[in-house]
Amino acid sequence: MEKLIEDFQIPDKKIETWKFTDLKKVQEKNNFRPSVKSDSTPTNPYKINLDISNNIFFDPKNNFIIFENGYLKKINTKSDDLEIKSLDSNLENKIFNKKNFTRKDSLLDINSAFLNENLIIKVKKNAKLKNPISIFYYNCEEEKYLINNRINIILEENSEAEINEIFFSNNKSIYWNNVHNYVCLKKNSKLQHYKIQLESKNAIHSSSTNIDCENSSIYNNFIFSIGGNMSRIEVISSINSADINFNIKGLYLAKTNQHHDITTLMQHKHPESKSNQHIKGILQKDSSGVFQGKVIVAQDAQKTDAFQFNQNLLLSETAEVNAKPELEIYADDVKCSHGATTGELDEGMLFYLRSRGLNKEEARKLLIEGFINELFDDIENKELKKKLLLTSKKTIY
Amino acid sequence: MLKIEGLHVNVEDKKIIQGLDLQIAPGEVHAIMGPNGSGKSTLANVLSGKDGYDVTKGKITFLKKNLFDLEPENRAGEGLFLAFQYPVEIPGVSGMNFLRTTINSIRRYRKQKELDGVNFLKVLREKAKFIKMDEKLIKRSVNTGFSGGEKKRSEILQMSLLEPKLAILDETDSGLDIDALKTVANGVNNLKNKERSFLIITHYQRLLNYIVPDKVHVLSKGKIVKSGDKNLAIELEKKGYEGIM
Ligand SMILES: Nc1ncnc2c1ncn2[C@@H]1O[C@H](COP(=O)(O)OP(=O)(O)OP(=O)(O)O)[C@@H](O)[C@H]1O
Ligand SMILES: [Mg+2]
Repeated sequence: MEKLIEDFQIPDKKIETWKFTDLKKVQEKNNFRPSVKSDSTPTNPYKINLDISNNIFFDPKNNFIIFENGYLKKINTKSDDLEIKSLDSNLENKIFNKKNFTRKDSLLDINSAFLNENLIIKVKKNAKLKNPISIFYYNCEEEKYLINNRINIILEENSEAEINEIFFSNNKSIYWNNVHNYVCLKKNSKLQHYKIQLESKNAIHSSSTNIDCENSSIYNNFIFSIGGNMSRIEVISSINSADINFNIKGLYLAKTNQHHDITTLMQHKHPESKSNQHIKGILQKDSSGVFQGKVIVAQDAQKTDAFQFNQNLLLSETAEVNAKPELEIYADDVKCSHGATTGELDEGMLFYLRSRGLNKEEARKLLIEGFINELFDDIENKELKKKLLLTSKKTIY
Repeated sequence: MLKIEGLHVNVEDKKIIQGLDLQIAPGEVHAIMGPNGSGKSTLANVLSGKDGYDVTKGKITFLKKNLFDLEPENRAGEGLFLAFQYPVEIPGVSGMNFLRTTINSIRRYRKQKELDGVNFLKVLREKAKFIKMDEKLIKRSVNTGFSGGEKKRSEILQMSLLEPKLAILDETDSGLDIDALKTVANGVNNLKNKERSFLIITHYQRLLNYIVPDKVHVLSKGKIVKSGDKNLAIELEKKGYEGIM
């Protein structure tokens, strides 16, 4: 029997990990309907929508994948070392060890039940991809639909790649985008993964990235969360081996009455790996932000090095933040630290700048930029870094 | 240049400055000495426009303007500069960006043409060289992780870039090694001219060997209790505050 969205419990505050984000309420208000996969393949060759080709993150030189209103429209690969295709779900379970990523909510079940597209991106052994892979999730329809896509990513041994996902819209559309990623990093591979969330101001974004890491792999994740009415971005790691270097940098930037949630789970299961998380938030007007980060260091995971820090800047009296950094350590020989701070712009710094001739507005701007800069310092793709900085400046002022 | 008349300042209902008078003419160098907690930094902060100081009585005129009518940034624009006793660290803001923004804000206020990147760098390099400040330090975040001496040098660099009419140095000499002390004094002496005045707050006579003051004042319990010429500083060094009061 076909499932209905009503058959699922939408996450709300009753679930421990959803204490600060009530998705159910938003679904009740909007009643998003799952979009149905059309069987007829379009006959005309696809022409890239102007909104996409004009987007500053679009570069025709890159490998790219385009989704429009939830449907896969185009796959463009520039390298023989890269394979992108639909994945049948039997195969999926063979490749990815989903045991490491069990969920206590229904989002993955919803994704499975109404799946639009299930893609696999494979980077071949020893390949170092020259050009990034950009995935555009573009939306321009207004009829309150729920989109479910899944992207599986495998980096074979010794391979390197950069993937950037860009979620955006014509800013009129109303939808709920529910995306799940599975990433498998084989021995010695390295992935730069940028999640650039610029959804429509009326949209809901929920995504999870689940990463399985093998020996000596490097994962650098950068979350840039600006759009949407409500967003929940999850990163869940499974560190199964030694010498893994796992990094998450994140920025949520809320302008009006938005709600941004970044939730991470770091599972150190094996000795001698490193993880580092640094998440910053800037909140204006009536917006709210959430950071929940849990680091679990298993008994066997000796010599783990885990660091986690969340810093929030409140730019209005009505903005609010809930930060919940957690450490669960069962090993005894580890280096772990975590912390969270929330505050306004520092009066002492503001005065220092004003005493040097900057007016209040200029001083504020410089300090906000400084707050952001720290996070962007070690982004490897310099061109992308410039675009992200530009986008954040536009959002703040 | 600066005229302070009958100034009274409270901090959190505590009387800190209690009837202070001071006049500085263009081109003059004044030194203020005084025991810890006598109100020297309080005076400097009030002059620069910092919040949290309650002026209960008195008047301050700076270049014929009522100082209290001016926001801190406008005081800087008019030509007031304070080298802080404890400069703040500003992580994430590069010194380059900061210095360029500040010099151009001030130039705009003074209706001078803003400096473009090339000209700014030229001016900056010249000044930095003069006060022996490493360019690497300027590229870092403002004051962040600087040593005590480096912070003081950074204040002097800002002073020489902003070309103030009245520069107040709050214990800029404290914690400096002898070479750094000479460099700081050089920075001041190099800026000295007929129009520019200095108010130097210090605990040590040794700085005044390099920057010769026209007048020396002793501040105690929020009041100037004694004024004299440079010899007063020498006398103080010998006899201590108790000996001269
Ligand atoms: N924000 C404040 N809150 C409470 N008391 C203050 C504050 N600022 C200054 N004071 C008090 O005012 C008095 C004068 O302080 P000030 O910093 O002006 O002294 P100073 O002469 O500069 O001393 P030093 O030589 O140690 O630098 C001190 O007793 C100090 O504790
Ligand atoms: Mg002081």
